[in-house]
Amino acid sequence: MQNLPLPLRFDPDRLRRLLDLVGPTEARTFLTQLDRDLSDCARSLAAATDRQDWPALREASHVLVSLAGSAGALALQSLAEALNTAANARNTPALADLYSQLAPDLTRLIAIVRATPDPFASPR
Amino acid sequence: MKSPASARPPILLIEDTISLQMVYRSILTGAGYRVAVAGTAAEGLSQFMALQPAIVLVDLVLPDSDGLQLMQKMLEVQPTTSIIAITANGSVNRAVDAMRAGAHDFLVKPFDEGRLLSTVQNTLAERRARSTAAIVSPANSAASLPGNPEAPAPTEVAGFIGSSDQMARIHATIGSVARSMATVFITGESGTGKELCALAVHAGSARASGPFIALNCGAIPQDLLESEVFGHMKGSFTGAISDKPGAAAAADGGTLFLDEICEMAPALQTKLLRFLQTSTVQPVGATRPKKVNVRIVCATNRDPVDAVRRGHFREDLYYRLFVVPIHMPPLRDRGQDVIEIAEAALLRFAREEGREFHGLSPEVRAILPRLPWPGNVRQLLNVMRNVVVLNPGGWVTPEMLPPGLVDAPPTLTEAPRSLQPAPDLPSTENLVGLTLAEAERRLIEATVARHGGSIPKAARVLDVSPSTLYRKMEGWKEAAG
Repeated sequence: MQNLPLPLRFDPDRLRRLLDLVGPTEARTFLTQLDRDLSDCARSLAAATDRQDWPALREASHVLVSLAGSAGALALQSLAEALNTAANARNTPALADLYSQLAPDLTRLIAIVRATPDPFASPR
Repeated sequence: MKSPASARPPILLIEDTISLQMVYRSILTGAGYRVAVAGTAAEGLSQFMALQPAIVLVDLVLPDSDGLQLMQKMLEVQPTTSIIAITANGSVNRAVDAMRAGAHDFLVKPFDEGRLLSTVQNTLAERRARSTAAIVSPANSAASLPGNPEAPAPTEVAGFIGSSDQMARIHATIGSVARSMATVFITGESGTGKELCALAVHAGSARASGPFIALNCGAIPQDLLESEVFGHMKGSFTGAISDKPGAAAAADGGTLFLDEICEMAPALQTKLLRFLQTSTVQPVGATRPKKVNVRIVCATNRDPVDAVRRGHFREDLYYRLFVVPIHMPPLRDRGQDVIEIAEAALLRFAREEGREFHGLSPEVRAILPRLPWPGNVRQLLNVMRNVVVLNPGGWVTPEMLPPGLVDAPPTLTEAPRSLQPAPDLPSTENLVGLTLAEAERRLIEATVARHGGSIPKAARVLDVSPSTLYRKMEGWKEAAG
């Protein structure tokens, strides 16, 4: 995990805090679910950007604002907010630009989540 | 010590992003609440019908239906449910729509556990206060709130008089919004009764037994306003000889009414925004913030959208505050309300002054609705006070009305904006083409000039505080460099 590139303006305390909140019984499930939700979001955004499907873009960016902000990826949260605004305004030029900035950061966040160990798991 | 979960009322959480659902559920169960969860609108509605929860947290973007529609369905089934709408940063307009549709409060994602728990706790506290008030004092119960269809339909509710359609709509809005935590933003010309409207919102809420603190942001010098709103600690600045709690803390458990909100300095707007986001106040000189539970009602006689456009008022603060707008109509647009208000005022003032008046003569009843009333209800009350004080009693005839009120027949049917201007005031025609701010400046300068440069006299005529004029003049100087 140490060698992975971090999302821009990443606050690792936020992800740690989420794991503390869900506690030892659910931490592993939570990480799996967070990975799934972020990956679903990445797929939806890619497909919706390709088709310029504005309602789908609105929905996926709305979800990403919450997920990125909760997990501490602050730059990604801001980009998702901007994308949500662009989707609401059906702003085609902004869409391509924002997506090209957002997609790599989202990939970095997913990689970090996948590499995050369950903090409550006993060491082997 | 936490209460056992079974003793807490159930909370229904409708959130389709499962990882977030897990986090929110963990926070709430960790605080001792019983929580049921749903990931779709259909599942949420089904759980709602089965559980009849006191509080529902609902994400406004759901995969199978709009969260707003779901919220409305639930309120139709159980109007006393407290709904907390959840939306994402960047979609705050949706939260505003939800508040207008009857949501009790809203949360903007991402939020932390403190924000989630304080919102739920405040909602529960409101519900408890409401049920206590209903038991202790049936007169204060929901059935007697203005706008409630079960209540009698008086023309005077919480200080308001008038049975016009406009006022009926305002009573209905107040009745709907009073019981929620939604911020109310009252607009209207000077003298239309904005503070009475704020009082009616307070009186109809579960906070009616709490304090109602009114603060005129335009009447307090800007350098004292922060201390007036948020308080200060002894010794924090020269003249701070003792701790002062400030209006926000004084309104804890009640309502804080911020009048002339658009006059607030930008730096203080930032602090007010922070206060609204965190529900905490930090008095000047204090090292720690303090949590307070305050409902905000604000008012302005300006166009708030224009103030935002001109950069005088923060857009994010505007969206935070402009949740439920209420526009108080000018008296000239309220038809026969003028007569109702005049008669009620006549009765009251006659009693206070020990005079015997029978009522308004038919001539006066015909004249009053045709006058332009630039000073609105405040002007009408002054007229009636004048009549009562200067006349012994009997029927109020046209001769008893103050000189100048009706002796200019051509203006009787015209609104004040179309009155012929005095020679030294800008004419309406000359103002066309100017921006509102430029026209305002012309009017202020001409009024000050007409009163020999006296700011207090001009302020009295313009019905604003002198500090408002001083501040505007300083602004013009700064803008001119």
